[in-house]
Amino acid sequence: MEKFNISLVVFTWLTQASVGLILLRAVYMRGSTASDDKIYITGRYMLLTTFILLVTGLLFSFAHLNYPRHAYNAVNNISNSWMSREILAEIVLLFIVLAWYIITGFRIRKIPQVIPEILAGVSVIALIYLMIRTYMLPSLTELNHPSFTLSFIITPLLAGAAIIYFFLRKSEPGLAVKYKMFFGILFLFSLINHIIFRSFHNDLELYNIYNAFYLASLITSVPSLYATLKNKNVISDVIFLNLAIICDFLNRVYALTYTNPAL
Amino acid sequence: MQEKNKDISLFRSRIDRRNFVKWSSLATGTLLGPGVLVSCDNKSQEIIDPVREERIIRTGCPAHNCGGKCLLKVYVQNGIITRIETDDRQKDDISDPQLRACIRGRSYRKRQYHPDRLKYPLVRTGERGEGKFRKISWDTAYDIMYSKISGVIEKYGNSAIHVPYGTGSYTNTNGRWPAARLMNLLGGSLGFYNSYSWACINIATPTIFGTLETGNQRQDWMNSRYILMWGWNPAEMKDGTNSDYFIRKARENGARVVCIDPRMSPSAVALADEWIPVRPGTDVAFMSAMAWVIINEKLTDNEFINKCCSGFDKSNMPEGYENEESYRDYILGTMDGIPKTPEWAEKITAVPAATIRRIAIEYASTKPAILYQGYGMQRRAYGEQVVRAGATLAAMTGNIGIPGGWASGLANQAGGGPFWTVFPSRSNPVKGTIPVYLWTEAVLRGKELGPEHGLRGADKLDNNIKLIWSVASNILVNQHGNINRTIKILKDPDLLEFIIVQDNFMTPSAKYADLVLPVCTQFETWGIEDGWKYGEEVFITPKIVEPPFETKSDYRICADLAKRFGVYDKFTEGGRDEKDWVAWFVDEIYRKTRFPDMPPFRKFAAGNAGVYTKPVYEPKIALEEFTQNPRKYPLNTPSGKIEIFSIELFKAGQPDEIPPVAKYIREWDNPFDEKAEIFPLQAMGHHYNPRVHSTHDNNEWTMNAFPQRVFINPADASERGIKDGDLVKIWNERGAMILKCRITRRIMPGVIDIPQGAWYDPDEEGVDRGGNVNILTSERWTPFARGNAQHTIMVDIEKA
Amino acid sequence: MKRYGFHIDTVNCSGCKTCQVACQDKNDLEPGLIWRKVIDIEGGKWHDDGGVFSEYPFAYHISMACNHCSDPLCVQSCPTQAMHVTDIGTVDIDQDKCIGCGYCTWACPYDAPRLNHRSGRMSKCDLCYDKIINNENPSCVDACPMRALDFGDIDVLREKYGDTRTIFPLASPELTEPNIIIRPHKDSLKASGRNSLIANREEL
Repeated sequence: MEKFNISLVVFTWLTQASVGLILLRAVYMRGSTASDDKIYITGRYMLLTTFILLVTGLLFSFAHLNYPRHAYNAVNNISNSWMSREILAEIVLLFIVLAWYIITGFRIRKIPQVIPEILAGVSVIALIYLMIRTYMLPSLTELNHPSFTLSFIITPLLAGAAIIYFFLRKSEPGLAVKYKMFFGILFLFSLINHIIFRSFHNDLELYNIYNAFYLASLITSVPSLYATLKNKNVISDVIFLNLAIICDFLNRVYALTYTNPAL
Repeated sequence: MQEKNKDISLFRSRIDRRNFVKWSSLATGTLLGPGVLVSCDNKSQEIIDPVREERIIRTGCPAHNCGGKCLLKVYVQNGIITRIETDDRQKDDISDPQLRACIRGRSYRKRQYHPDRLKYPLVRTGERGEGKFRKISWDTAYDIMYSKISGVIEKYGNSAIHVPYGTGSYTNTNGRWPAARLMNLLGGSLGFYNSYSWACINIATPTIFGTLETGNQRQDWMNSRYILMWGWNPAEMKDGTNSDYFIRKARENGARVVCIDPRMSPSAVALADEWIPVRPGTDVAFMSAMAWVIINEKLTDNEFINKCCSGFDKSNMPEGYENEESYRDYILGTMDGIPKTPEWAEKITAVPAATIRRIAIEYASTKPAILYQGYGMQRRAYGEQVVRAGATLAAMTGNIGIPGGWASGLANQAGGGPFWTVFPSRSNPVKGTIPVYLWTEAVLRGKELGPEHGLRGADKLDNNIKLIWSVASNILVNQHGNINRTIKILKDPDLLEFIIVQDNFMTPSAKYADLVLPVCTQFETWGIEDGWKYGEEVFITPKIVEPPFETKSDYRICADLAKRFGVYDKFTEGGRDEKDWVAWFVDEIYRKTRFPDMPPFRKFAAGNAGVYTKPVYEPKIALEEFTQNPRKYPLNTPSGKIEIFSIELFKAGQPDEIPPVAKYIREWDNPFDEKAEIFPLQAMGHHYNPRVHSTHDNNEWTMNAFPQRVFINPADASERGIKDGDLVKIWNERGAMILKCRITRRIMPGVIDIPQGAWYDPDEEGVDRGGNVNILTSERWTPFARGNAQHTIMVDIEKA
Repeated sequence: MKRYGFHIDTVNCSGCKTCQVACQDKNDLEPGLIWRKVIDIEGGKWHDDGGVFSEYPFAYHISMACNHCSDPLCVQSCPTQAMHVTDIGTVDIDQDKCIGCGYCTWACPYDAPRLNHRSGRMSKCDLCYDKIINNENPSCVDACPMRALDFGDIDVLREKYGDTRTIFPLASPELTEPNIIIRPHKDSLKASGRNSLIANREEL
C-alpha cells in the first residue's frame, strides 16, 4: 500500500509462527520424556494452537484488505501469481491441520504420526517457499538480500521454540530449558540478521524504536541466561521471550517499510 | 499530502429552498463522472433546472489575473459542471496556437464548488478581523451601503472613499470596474495609478522609451538567436498563454536560451540551456558589469547608439547635459572611481566574473538577441534601475526595433495589444490619484500627501480615506506589505469608518470587513476577457450555471445599489444586464477596433466557439518605425530618443536614489550591511504554480500538488539543524510565520523562498501559520515610481 | 497485440502538473488520489568559491502515470486477476474482482496503482480507455501547456522519438517492458544515486 499496513505483518508473522510450531512439534513428539498420554495431549494442543494461529493470521490478512468482500477471488491467479499460490497453500495447510486435529481426537493409534507429519511438513515448507517468492518481487530491490530471506527461516523457528517453551514451562521444565536455549540462539541470529539488513539499507541510526526493544531484550536476556545455566525457568524468561518476540516482529515491520512504492 | 485546517467556513447552514445543489455532497465529491447524477434530496431535485442532457460550453477560463487567458470546455449536466477540458482546436501552430489551460484552470471545479463559498450578505458582529458575522438580507445590505457611502460623502467628501486595486476578476462584469463606475457617477472616489505587479517597470519604461509598447508580438521570438530570460518564469506564472511554448519553439528554431534567477525555476529547467543564479536585488550590478565588458570588447552598436539613443557617452549626451555623468562614465567609473568590472560585480551578485564576461559577450555578439525582464526584479527597492539597465543593454547592442530583438521594459504588445478592461468606468471627478501602494498612507494621513509622495492630478488631498469598498481584491490584508501594520490600521474605527468587501470567499481581507457581500463566479454570469498582455484573441464567458444561494455578480450588486442612489439608468446605460454589456463589448468595442472580422455577438455566442482569434503571420515589431526613422517618428521622451540618460529623472533632483542613468544601488535591506548579522537570509516570494496570487489557495487539487512550503537550500538548513519537512519559524522585525519547509537545491544558499499569495492565518500570538510572505514584507515604496518594493526582505529562520 | 504508450519529453517538461490535475478532473479523483504524478529530480551541488558560486545543481521533471507495460508484473502478481490486459492492450483494474490488497503496488516499479479510499479498491491510469477507443488523446496529453506529452501506438512513438525507456531514477525497462518513450533531459545523463534524489516525495 501507499503506507504499509501492520495487519499484513501480523498475518505473516502468525503464519510463520504456525509453520515453526508444526515443525518443532515433530521434534518435541520424539524428544519428550513425558508419558505417552501427556505427549499426546500436548501434541494436540499444539495442533489446536497451530490452527488458531493460522485462522487468526487469516483474519488479520482480511483486515489488511481494503475490500474484503471479494476476498475469495484471491486464489484466482495461481497460474501466475505467487501470492495467489501462497494463499492457496495457506488454506490447504489450514485444512490439513484441522483434519489432523480432528482425526487425532479419535485416537486411532494405527495411523502412524509420520504420515500427517510429512504431509504438514511438506505443506509448511512449500508455504514458506511461496511466502519468500511472494515478497521477492523483482521490483522490490530493497528486499533482495539474503538477510531478508533468512528472516523467513529464523522467525518460524524462533516463534515455534517460544510457543513450545510456553507449553512446557511448567509441565516439562527440563525440556523447556532446551527450547529456551534454542530460542536464545535464534534471538541472537535475529538480532544479527536485523543489523545486517539495516546496514544493507545504510540505516544504522542509533536512536530508534528497534534498537530500544533489542536493547531491552538483551538486558532481560541476562537473568534469563543465568536461569538457563542453572536449569531453571523463571518469570524473567517470559519477559525476555516476549520482548524478543516483539523484536523479531518489529524486524519484519521494518522490512516491510521497504515495500512502499518503488520510486 | 497536505492537511490544512482552513477554518474559514462559517456556515453549516441547511439548504435554502431556492438552491439548486446540495453543497456538502458536492464538496465531498460524490460525482463519479459525467454519467452520474449528484445525490440530491428529493425536494431540491424537483426544482432543478430541467437540463438533462450534457452540454459542452466553450468559454474563457475565469480570469483571475493569471498571466494567461485560456479556453475551457465546460461540461454541464443538470445545472452542475461535471468536467473541464481545454482548447482542442485542430490548429496548434505558432500563428494561432491552442490556448491550453494550466493547472489552475483545470482544477477549477474544486473552486467553483468549494463548500466555503460565500452564500449571503454578512454584517460584522465581533471585532474587525475576528471573522464573526451574521447573515442579513440583500435589502439590508444595500441600505447599509447606501447610508454609509452617502454618509461619508456628505461628512468628508468623495475623496474619502477608495475602491482599492484588485485583480480578482478580469471578466469585466465581475471585478472592481463596476464599483469604480458607480462611484464615478456619485461624484468619484480616490483613484490610484500603478499596480502591485508593475509599478517600477510601468513608470520607468516611459523614461527610456516614452511608451509602454516595447514588446514585439511573440511570434517574432522565432527570429531570435539568443534569449536572456532575466528573472522571468513564464513556465510557472504564464505571462501570456503559451509564452513558455513560444520560447520552446524559439529554442528549437536555434536560439540559445539562458535563464538568470536566484532560484532554478520551472522555466530554468524546461526552457533554458543554462541557468545562472544571481543574488536577489543585484541584477543591476550584473547588467552594469555586462555593459563594462561590452564597452571594453568594443561590441557596442555605435551606429544604433548614435542614431537612436541619448546619453550613452559624452558625445551622445542631450543638449545642455553634456557635462553630466553619461552611462559610459558610470560604467567605466570615470566620475565615481569605481569601474563596474565583472570582478566588482562578482562580489555583489555571487556570479563568477568569467560567467558575467561570457554572458555579456554572448548577448552582445549573438544578434538578434532578447533580454526579457521579468517583473520580480522590479518589485524591489530601486526597482526603477533594473528596468532602465536592461533597456540600456538592449539599446547598446542595437537589439531594439528589429525582428528577433527585444527592447525590454514593460513590453506591452506592439500595435496595441489586449485591452484587459473594456468595462467603462467613466472619468473620475476626483482628480487626485495616489500611487497604488500608498493607500495605507492615505488612510493614515491622506491630507498630508503631496507630489513628493507621488500624488498626481492635484496638489493635495482633501481627505484621509474613510471608507473602503474592496471588490475582487485581497489587497487589504493578504497582498499588501507588512500585514501586522496594515491590520492595526484596519482595526482602528477612527481611521476607517467602514469597510465593504465583495468576494467569493471569506478571505483574510474579508475577515476585516464590516460588510461582506457574496459574489458569484465567472461561470455564473456573462463576461468577456481578452489576452493577458499578449495575444490576438477575445473570449466570451457565458453564464453556464446558476449563481448559488444569494450570490450575485459584481455588476449586479453595483446596479442594484445604483437604484438606491437614483443613477440606475446611467449606470446600466438604460437597463443593460451582464449579457447586454458583453454584446456591447463585442459589437461596439472589439469589432470596431482589434477584431473587425469577428462575427456579431449573437452569432458568435450561438456558435459556442468561446474564443475568437486572429492568427499572426507577420509579428509586429515594437519601436520599428522609430528605429528606422528616428527623426520622423521621435519617441515621446524629452529628447525624442531612447533616453539612456533620462532628462526626466535628472530633473527629479535626487541623484543618489533616482540617478538619470541606470545604476546599481544597494537595497535598504541587503545581505551586506551589519543588519545582515541579525537577519542574514534574503527572502523572496515568487508566483507559485498552484495559485493566482491568493486565488486557489483553498483549492484542494492545486494545493495538494504544490503545498505551501518555505524553500530552503540544504546548506542553510543543515547549518540550523533543519530537516526536510520540519516546521520552521521565519521572522524579521515586522512579523513572524511558522511553516513547513522543503529542502531544495533549486535555490541559492543565503536565499529562501516563500511563495506569495497564501492566506494569512494568524495564531493566538499573531504568528502567521498560513505562510503569507507579507507578514515579513515592508510597506516602504521605491523612490521614483512609488512602487511596492515587496521582494526586498531580510529574515532569519530556525527550527520551530 | 498492438500496445499503446506515452512519450514523455523531460526536456520540455516544466513540472507544472497540469497533466496531473487534468486527469484528476476527468476521473473525478478524490483529493489526495492521483493517477499521474510529476517527479522532481534534483542533482549536483553548489560549490561556494568564497561567496561566489562556481558550480550549480541541476534538475528535471518526469511526468508519469501508468506505463501499460507489455510484460506487466502487476498483472502477473495480482491474486484475483483484477489487474488485467484489456482488449486494446492497456492495463486496467477490474473493480468487481479487486480486493484492495495492494500487492500490485509492490510489483509496480513506477508507483502507478493507488488505493482509492472511497471504494477500497486499487485504481490507476486507464489510458483514458473511453477516449482512445474514440480516437481521442488521453486528457493528460492534450492538457500539457508545453506539449511535452504524446500518445499513440508504441511502434509509431518509437519511430518518432527513439527507444529510450528509462531515465534516472526509474527502473530498468527489462523488468516490465514499459510502453514509454522518454526524451531524456540533458542533465538526467549525469544523474545517479550518488548525486541526485527525488525532491518532492510528499507530493507523489
